Parts: sequence; C-alpha cells; structure tokens
Amino acid sequence: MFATNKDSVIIQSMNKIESVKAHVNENRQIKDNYYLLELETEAPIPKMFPGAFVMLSFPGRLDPLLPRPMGLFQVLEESGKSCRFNIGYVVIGKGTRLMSELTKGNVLGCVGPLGNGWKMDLLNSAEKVILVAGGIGITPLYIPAMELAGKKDVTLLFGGAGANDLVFTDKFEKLGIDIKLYTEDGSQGSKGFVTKGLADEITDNSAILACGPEGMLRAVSDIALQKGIDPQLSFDKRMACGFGVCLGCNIAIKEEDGVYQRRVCKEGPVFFGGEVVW
Amino acid sequence: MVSKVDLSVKIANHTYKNPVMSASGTFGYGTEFGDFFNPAILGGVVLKGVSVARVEGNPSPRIYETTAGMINAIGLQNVGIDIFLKDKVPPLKKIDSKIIANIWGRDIKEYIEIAERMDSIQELDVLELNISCPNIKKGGIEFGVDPVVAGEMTALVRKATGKDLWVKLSPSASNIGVMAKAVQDSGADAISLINSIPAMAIDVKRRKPRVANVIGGLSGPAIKPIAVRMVYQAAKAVNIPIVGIGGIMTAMDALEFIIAGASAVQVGTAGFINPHVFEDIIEGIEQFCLDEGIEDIKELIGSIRV
Ligand SMILES: Cc1cc2nc3c(=O)[nH]c(=O)nc-3n(C[C@H](O)[C@H](O)[C@H](O)COP(=O)(O)OP(=O)(O)OC[C@H]3O[C@@H](n4cnc5c(N)ncnc54)[C@H](O)[C@@H]3O)c2cc1C
Ligand SMILES: Cc1cc2nc3c(=O)[nH]c(=O)nc-3n(C[C@H](O)[C@H](O)[C@H](O)COP(=O)(O)O)c2cc1C
Ligand code: FES
Repeated sequence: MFATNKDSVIIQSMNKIESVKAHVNENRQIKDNYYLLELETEAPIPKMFPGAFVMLSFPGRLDPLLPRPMGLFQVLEESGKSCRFNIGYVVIGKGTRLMSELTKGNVLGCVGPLGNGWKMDLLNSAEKVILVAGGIGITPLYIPAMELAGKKDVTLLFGGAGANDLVFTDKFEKLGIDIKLYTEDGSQGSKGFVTKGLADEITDNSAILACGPEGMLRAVSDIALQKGIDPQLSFDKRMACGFGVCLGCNIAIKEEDGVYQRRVCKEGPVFFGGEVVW
Repeated sequence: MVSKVDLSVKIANHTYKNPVMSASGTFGYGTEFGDFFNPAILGGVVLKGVSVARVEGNPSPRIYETTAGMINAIGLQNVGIDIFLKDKVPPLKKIDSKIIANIWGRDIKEYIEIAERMDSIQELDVLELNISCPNIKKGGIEFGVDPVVAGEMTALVRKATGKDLWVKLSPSASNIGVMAKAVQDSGADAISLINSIPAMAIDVKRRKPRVANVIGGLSGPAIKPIAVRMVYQAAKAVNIPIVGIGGIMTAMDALEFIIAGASAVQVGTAGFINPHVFEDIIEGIEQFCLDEGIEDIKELIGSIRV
C-alpha cells in the first residue's frame, strides 16, 4: 500500500511558471464559434514550449470564478519583457463566451507556461510523424508541425463534426505538410471519424501526437498500440489551479508497480496511450 | 499618523508574523507556490491533509465550478505519513514561517497514530485536526457533526501530542457554538473553521452528478457569509483563538473574519485563481490599518460592534 520514491517527483516543478497580467491585442472570430486570441503578457514569463498551456482568468470577476486552461497555439514574440502568443478557442460555455467578448486592451490573468508538453526529443528517431486533431485540439499541434515540417514526413489527420469545426487549416497548409480532413457529416473531406484512416498511415517507424476529445484519444491509442506505436496524447480535464495543488484534474496511469492518480496539469497533459487506464 | 503596523498575532504557544495563512488541501505540501512567492511571507503554512496510509482519492471528475464557488471531491488524496515524513517534511526547514500539519483518519486510532508520529518532528509547529471525515465505525457519518465524538477525539489526540492542537470544524455541525465549546473543553488550543460545505450539482441533460463522488465540498466566495457567521458564533462560545476560513478573496474579506472574532485566516480557493493573492491580502490588511490609524492588528480581532 505504501508509495514508492516516485512520489517525491510528484510535486517538483519541472518548468518554472509565473502568474502575470496579459493584455488582449486582438480577438478575432475565425468561423462560427471559433476564435483566435492574441495576448501579450505585462511581464516576462518563463520560456514557452510545444504542448504548453496557460490558465486564463477574469480579474475581479467571481463568476466564472476559476481560470480556464488554454493550449499554446503560436508564440509570436518572446523577450525579456513580455511574451506575445496566440490561443485558439471554441465557445462552449460561460467562460469561453466571456472570452469571445474580449476586445483590445482588456486584461486577463495568465499563469504559465504549464504542463509537461510534447516529448519532442522522442520524435527524432521517427521517420514519419502523424498528428491527429479533433476540433480545437488542432492548436497545440501547430508548433510541432512547424518544427518538423521539411525535416520529416509529417501528416495531419484533422477531424470535426462539420466543416465549421475544421479551423486554422490554412496555417498548416502553408507548412507544406500532408493534410487529410474528416467530418462526421461529410460536409468537408472524407465522411467519418478522424481515426478512420489512421491505421493505413502508420508505418513501422512512425510517431503519433494527438489532441482532441477523450473518445478520439482512446480510439487513436487503440489503433496505434495495435500497430506497435505508443502515441503521445494531450488530455483535456476540468482544472481548478492548473499547477498541481488542487488535485482536481486526475487521470489513472499505469506504472511499473501499480496504478496511480496523476495530475493532467502537472505530470500531463501529455501521456502515452499505453500508460492510460481508460 | 500611524507609520507602522504590528501585524503579528498570537495563537496558543506561537506567534505568527501576520494573520494570513494557506488552507489545507489548496497549497500542496508547502513548497508548490515557490515559483510565485516565498511561502515564508505567510503567517502560517497549512499543509495538505495527511493520513496513516497513502490514499489515491476519488475517480474523475473531482471538481466542478458553481456560481462564485467550486465543488471538490478529491477524496483526501495524499502520500501517507511515511512518505510525508521522508520526502515532504525536509524541504519545510527552508520555510521561515510556522508550519501547520493537517491530519485526518478513518477512525480515532489513526488520528492518534499520526499525532504521535508527528509529535517529535521539529519542522511542524502545529497539528490541525480535520474532523470533517467519514467515521468508519459510525457508518460513515462525519466525526465533525457530533460534539461528543469530536470532544472524545480531541481529548485523545491531545494526549498524543505536546504541539499546539487546532481542531478544524465542519460546517455540518448542527450547533457550531456547542461544537466549539466541546473541543475547547477537551483540550484544543485553537479552532479553525470552516471546512468546505457538503454540496452537489447535477448535469441535467445526462441526469448525472457533476463529480464522480456525487457529493463534494463547496468552497470559494459563495460560502463566505456562512463562514463569517460561523466564526462569529464560535468566537462567542469559546475563549481560545479562532482561525477563520471560507471564501476569502481580498483583504476586506479577511478583515471581516478578523472583526467577527478570528485571530488569523486561511486562504484556499482564491490561490487557484491568483497565486499572488496571499501577498495582496497581507498588503491590503496593512494598508487598511494604516488608513484607519490602527497600530496593531490585534485591536481588530473580535472588534465587531453589534
Ligand atoms: C490543457 C488544456 C488545454 C486546453 N486548450 C484549449 C484550447 O486551446 N482551446 C479551447 O477552446 N479549449 C481548450 N481547452 C478546454 C477548455 O479549457 C474548456 O473548453 C473551457 O474551460 C470551458 O470553459 P467554459 O466556461 O466555456 O465552459 P463551462 O461553462 O465550464 O462548460 C460548458 C460545457 O462544457 C463542458 N466542459 C467544460 N469544460 C470541459 C472540459 N475541460 N472537458 C470536457 N468538457 C468540458 C461542461 O461539462 C459543460 O457541459 C483546454 C483544456 C485543457 C485541460
Ligand atoms: C481542492 C481542495 C482540497 C481540500 N483539501 C482539504 C484537506 O485535505 N483537509 C482539510 O482540512 N481541508 C481541505 N480543504 C478545505 C479548505 O482547507 C478550506 O477549508 C475550504 O476550501 C474553504 O476555504 P476557501 O473558500 O478559501 O477555499 C480543501 C479544499 C479544496 C478546494
Ligand atoms: S488542476 Fe489543480 S492539480 Fe491539476
């Protein structure tokens, strides 16, 4: 019953984090419920990394109370004074609706950069990298796509409910990577789930990064593991703090000596499909 | 004109540099906010609740946001006393502030065992007894609802430790004054309150509870007026110091508790939203005192004019 020395790892901060104010430079509707938000922090924050996320809060408001986790889309400028970056988001509730009403000059609370990020070094030995995105899960895959484009065979499989859910495809097209689109209603690309063509894409020496709804992640994991590839999956859980203190964002993870509740905000959001207890 | 304010407060055998502390379960094991500020600025650092055995806690989802509050059902996840003593205590040496260990158990025996094992640990200044836990022997009813059970437990843990003993009261007690008196009479050095309030939220479309455990604890600004009322009633019932907890977001919120009778306050949920809130609250209390010509924060404790 007693824990292992692994627990001493639990609370150590892997990356430095800061809590700063961030100014809205631009908040643009892309299509339907999808928006692109450009933020500029008032003070420097530690260096952003691929797969990082931030917690955005509404200063002075008690409802919504908690900050919202949002994945890093693009770093536009990082200096000793501030960080300018993009977030892509979809309006699904109270907090994201409020975000959609932000205009230039508005100020948010911003804690970050958070999480473990994609394990980019593990991609070095792969000849092909397959990116699998569901809906707004597309944004954290942009930095990996950018870093890998031209260096490796990169394929993006991108799915959504309908054509309106396939956003930011133009940015990926500019990178010259292979792109395959899927919609459940058939309004754009092939009709069906994004995982439909995954098995055929996987080669012996592929690596997979996936971000999207949990059902999609699970399907990606099942297909990839069957082909002998352990995919990196970025999870979305409700969060209160985002930096490891509330223990609210748990996920069950298999380790050598048992199953442990790990924090999606700290040990994650990226986990290997093979270690997740679904 | 006041130019300097004495923010220090005394609770039982210790003096605290200011009345602002972290709250158990919201501040990890004391070092996790280190990227944001030095925890030594706090009057006291209250640690995550520790039990005899390691506890993995509840399944997901564990949290849900409600209007101006949040429901949590973490399930008291913690590393257990062995790992706590081995890995979590040593880093506390570096924190130049009072350290309050929060403890809980499934039965009275477990509470006593933890208290005994912590008694000799120098880094820990105070034991805070969380009695808002299901009592296995009594069919899972909280220890914290029955003044007789709470008093018995306080007396037994009192014998197990020479450290300052705070008892953290549950808002589920039917009469908070009677409960406060019971733990005072059983040897508590101070009382902290309130723990989160048992609460529920339902996903109407799916007819499912919002947290996997069905029932969780409500915290955050939504509970503040209830907490202030309970602190006021507890303070009237006892003469040991009170530590006020519940929904504190600002210095003004903290001052409400102090005026109602609290010698110090703990801040929990607010730190999730703004990790720098502790600094803001300490500075805000000092500024209020300067503005009001108050030289010593102790003048404000229980200063409510009814
Ligand atoms: C690490 C991480 C990165 C993220 N990055 C992005 C991003 O880049 N862009 C983006 O648009 N979103 C992202 N999300 C999801 C985003 O945080 C939630 O959509 C947002 O918090 C919802 O807030 P709300 O107030 O609008 O919705 P609420 O009013 O809180 O909820 C509306 C509805 O959505 C459901 N819901 C809310 N939050 C979640 C959730 N986390 N998972 C599943 N269902 C939920 C609720 O049950 C409810 O039915 C990310 C989440 C995580 C954990
Ligand atoms: C996520 C979370 C975990 C908590 N864990 C504990 C705990 O382990 N022991 C305890 O005595 N109280 C625990 N509490 C209760 C807090 O210490 C505090 O009493 C309560 O949250 C009210 O204060 P707040 O509104 O400032 O958060 C927890 C609260 C939250 C939100
Ligand atoms: S969101 Fe608080 S621990 Fe992960």
